[in-house]
Amino acid sequence: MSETSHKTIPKFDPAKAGNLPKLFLGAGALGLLGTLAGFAVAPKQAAFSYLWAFVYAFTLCAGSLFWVLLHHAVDADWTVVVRRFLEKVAGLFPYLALLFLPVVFSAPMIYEWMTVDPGTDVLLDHKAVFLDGGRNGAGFFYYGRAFFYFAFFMGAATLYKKFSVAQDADGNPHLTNKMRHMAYGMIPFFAASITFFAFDYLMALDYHWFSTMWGVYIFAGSAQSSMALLIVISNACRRAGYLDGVMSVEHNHIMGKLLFAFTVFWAYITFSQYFLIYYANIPEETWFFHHRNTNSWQWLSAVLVFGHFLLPFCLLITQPAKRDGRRLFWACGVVLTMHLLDLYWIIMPQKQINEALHAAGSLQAAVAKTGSIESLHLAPHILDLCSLLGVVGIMGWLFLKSLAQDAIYPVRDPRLPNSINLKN
Amino acid sequence: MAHGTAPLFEPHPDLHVVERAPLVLNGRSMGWITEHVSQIVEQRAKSWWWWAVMITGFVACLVPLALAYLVSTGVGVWGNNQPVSWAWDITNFVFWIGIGHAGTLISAILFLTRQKWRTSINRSAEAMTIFAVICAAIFPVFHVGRIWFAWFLFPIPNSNVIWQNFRSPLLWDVFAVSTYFTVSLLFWYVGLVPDLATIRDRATTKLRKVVYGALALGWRGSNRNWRHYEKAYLVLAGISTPLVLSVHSVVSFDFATSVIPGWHTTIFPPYFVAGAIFGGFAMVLTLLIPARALYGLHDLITDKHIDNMCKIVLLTGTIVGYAYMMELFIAWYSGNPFEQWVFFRNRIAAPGFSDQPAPYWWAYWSMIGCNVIAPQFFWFKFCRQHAVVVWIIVQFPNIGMWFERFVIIATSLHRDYVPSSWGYFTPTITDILLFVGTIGLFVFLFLLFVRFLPMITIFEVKAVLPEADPHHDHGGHGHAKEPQAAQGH
Amino acid sequence: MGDTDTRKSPKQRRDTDTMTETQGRLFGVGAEFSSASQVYAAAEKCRDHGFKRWDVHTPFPVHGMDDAMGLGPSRLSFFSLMGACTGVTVAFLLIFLTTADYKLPDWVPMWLHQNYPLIVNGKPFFAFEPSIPIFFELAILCTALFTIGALLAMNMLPRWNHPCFNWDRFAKVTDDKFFIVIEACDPKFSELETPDFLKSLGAGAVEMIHEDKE
Repeated sequence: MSETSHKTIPKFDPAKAGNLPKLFLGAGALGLLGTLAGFAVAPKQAAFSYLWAFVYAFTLCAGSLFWVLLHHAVDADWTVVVRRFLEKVAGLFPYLALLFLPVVFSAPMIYEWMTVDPGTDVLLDHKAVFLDGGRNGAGFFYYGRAFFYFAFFMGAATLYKKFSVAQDADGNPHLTNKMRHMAYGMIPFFAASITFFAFDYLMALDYHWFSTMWGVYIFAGSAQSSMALLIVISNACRRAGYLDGVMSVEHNHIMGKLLFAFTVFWAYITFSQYFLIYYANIPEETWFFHHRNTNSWQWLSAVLVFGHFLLPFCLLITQPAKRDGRRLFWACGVVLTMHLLDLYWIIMPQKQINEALHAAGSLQAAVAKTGSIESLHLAPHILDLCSLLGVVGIMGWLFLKSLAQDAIYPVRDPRLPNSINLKN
Repeated sequence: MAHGTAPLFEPHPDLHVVERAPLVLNGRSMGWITEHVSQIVEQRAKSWWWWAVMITGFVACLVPLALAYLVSTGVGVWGNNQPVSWAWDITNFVFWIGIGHAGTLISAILFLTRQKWRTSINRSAEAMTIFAVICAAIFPVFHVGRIWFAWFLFPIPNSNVIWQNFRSPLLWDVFAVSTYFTVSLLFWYVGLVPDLATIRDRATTKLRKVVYGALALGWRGSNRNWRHYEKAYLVLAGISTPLVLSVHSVVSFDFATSVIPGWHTTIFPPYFVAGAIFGGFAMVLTLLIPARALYGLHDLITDKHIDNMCKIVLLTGTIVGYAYMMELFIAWYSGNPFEQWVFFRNRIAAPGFSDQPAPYWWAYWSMIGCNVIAPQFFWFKFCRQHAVVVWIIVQFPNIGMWFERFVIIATSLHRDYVPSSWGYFTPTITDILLFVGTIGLFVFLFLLFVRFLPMITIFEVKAVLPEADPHHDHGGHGHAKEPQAAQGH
Repeated sequence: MGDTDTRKSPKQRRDTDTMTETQGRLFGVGAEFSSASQVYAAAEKCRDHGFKRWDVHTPFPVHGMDDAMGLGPSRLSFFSLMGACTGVTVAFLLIFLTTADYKLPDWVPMWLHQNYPLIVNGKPFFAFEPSIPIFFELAILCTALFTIGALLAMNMLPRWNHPCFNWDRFAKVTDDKFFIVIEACDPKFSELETPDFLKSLGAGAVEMIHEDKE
């Protein structure tokens, strides 16, 4: 590559981003320090808060990887100008694997089944092969699976980043075909990994509860929120002038359409899961929703119905809304916040349920008086904020660092002209 | 544009490897497309068509015969009885309604995602949808037993103030299926109008001019009309997409809202939808591959189209496999002995692997073999590129998707909690003849369709030709296309 | 361009139109083009010339033609939204009025007392969740019906005939030819100049189109 083309390759310049990288780093460092202190003071709360923040980052990265895979599998044109952002978000998986370690170490404080003695719960004994950590065994299978999920996510994300960046250098179109062929084979692994991650670290919070839809549900939230993240990042870069003449309002329109589609998809999946359990009314399944409709948690449930579905749905339904950067930005903010609350709604009630069970001795005793666990309350904690700032701050900082390393969009992708000239 | 005036880079010499196959082969002109598609409707039918129509028409006669026997005698002429009180009727209903979903998927979802290759296949796929829904509707309507009370299904004011139970999934079915049929028919007809105008404008006989002229509604290709037309088509596509999801989700609610092990599982809605699209695409391929060969439409329905459809069959087949695995896994993970009984003792247990084989083990393993294993052949390019091989492979999903519904229904019902009430379902001759009759009816209607209506969307295919782009003669999409234009042309 | 003197109001023109034995009143002038790009460029010129009562006829919707003709976006989706609202309202009323547990006052006519609350499945009489499928399906159904209704109304279809069909070349509009028709009632229409104007845009054939003989 000649000296001149080096100058023309559009790259993200952290120096121009003002205090943003420092802000991310500062928030991340403070947040992680706070969480660390939290592990000393209130370890249980810290463990739950940290899991929540971690899963948030995980779903955003996994969702971004999904969009990369989808782009290649369907041989799409339009994604090219924004694909680098997806690759870079997904490329954070190696760091995410490091951030996963605290979850591993704090798992016995989160997952009730790790502290139940074998032989006391017939249902747990039945699935002890699958949930084999803590007192049910050494956890070879449980943590071994996690190793494979992360190995896949890291491997796939790194490969795509590598090939895509390599194409920046020589514009080799064979790489496009190679990445496409890889995508076909990776999709089944992606599905298996995200499903079983969702089973192992979210569904297993309550080891009695089960839902065949669970993997799809977590996937729907990931895909939706990572599309929102992509819109935010790409529009920020566009506004900063990095994508002049490359990204246009047409890209916003198409991303807005996908965000809208996945908002509806999330609602469809979530409604179906809730509705089938509600309608059949089998106690061992309804508990999940019963807990989350107790006391102040039901307000959060209501907020999710309106905020996670209705609000973005109404914000995005018209065509001008999808093309108007400002309204799109608001919708993305809503989606990203609601996804956070959705995960909060999934994870946090379990802490109080566990505590209530320990206090009362059994589920029957805990609900004996009123039919529900009275101590369930929406109780935000300062450690929630610390963990969230810590994980998001660090990931944001790493993202900006990694974004600065290569061209901000795949400059020599053979489909780039088609993407630039996108018309809806 | 950054790339506009001075491209950053020289185009790579191998750029041709990512060039896409054209949607219409051999550079066919608009006139050729009009002529080639319209002449199927205009020329005298070939002798194979007469033979096929007579045979399928004869088979289709089984439907009224079997139904007349059923209405005059009672639903007992079908084999379903306690404990298997839903059997072939509901299996066939779900089978047919599922077939229809590919049509809506192609016409709506592929339209919204701007998949231009859909244009050559959407018309016949939508026709298939309508005929499949007709076949499907026969079964539940006659399953009500006293067909003369079928109006009870609809909210019609009556002197007894008897209303429908709106909390019942079966009533949702009535709304979902009738909406689906109506909207599919309207969507299909709206798409047909410009092509009916083509036939009208080419008509040489008075009868054809009057009939197609009336059907074409006076369409004259006015851009002021196209403007609203395109918007209407977009809206219809936009509502058909959630509609197609909802229809099979509601069908799945028939099962999943119950507490019957094997039926009650939360993944049913998306799993049914994926299965429906899977079976539907298999049926589209089943019909289009012979039609393409018989009418010489290889330039319009290209190998690329077949290839794409094979990939969708592979994808949806694998999603269905994912759902099977989820069901199995959760049946085990839940620790619920009744769930486990249905999956492991009523379905999977094959002779040789279990000393108490499941009575319907063959149905379960046919389903797995046809729906999960067979589509995996489409990983190989060879299998996607030879029409005969494709046609043979897609027969497996056609069969497998029927077995899937049979497995869901019969194996969950036939051996429940109390062994004294166990049973085994065997179809009667009426069951079989009615199902065969609907196959005949389906193909019969499709044959009439290819004869009397343009089976390829003429105007949409023209719109995807390179010369349909109003900037075609002015050097492509502005300057940014240069790197590719230098290589491509 | 445009010699303003030759312009007449539609009323005036109708009175002075040449009525031959075989043809009806003048409808407008039609021009045939052989490619989408030609007709697109010509439409832009017609738009800039300031014609109002004119139309482009094409075998398929030409991308961007609405802009080339100076037409705004279609407002049809407004009716679709109305359809959706109607559907949900109808579904709600249907379910609520027939199944909910309420008693209408006696002065309401008897035939409106339609509810018959029944306990089914342990669900409330009016249960929101199980009503959603019906809300949804009726919303879709009404949206589709309103959309098609609006499409036909806004396009003023169906119709048996149209003056354009009197031009024999026009039959190619559903095949591979593209047409611009400028109506005689356009304020800028001129029987003498408009055909020349169209020819100057590269039209292959330009011809006067007459309405049916009365």
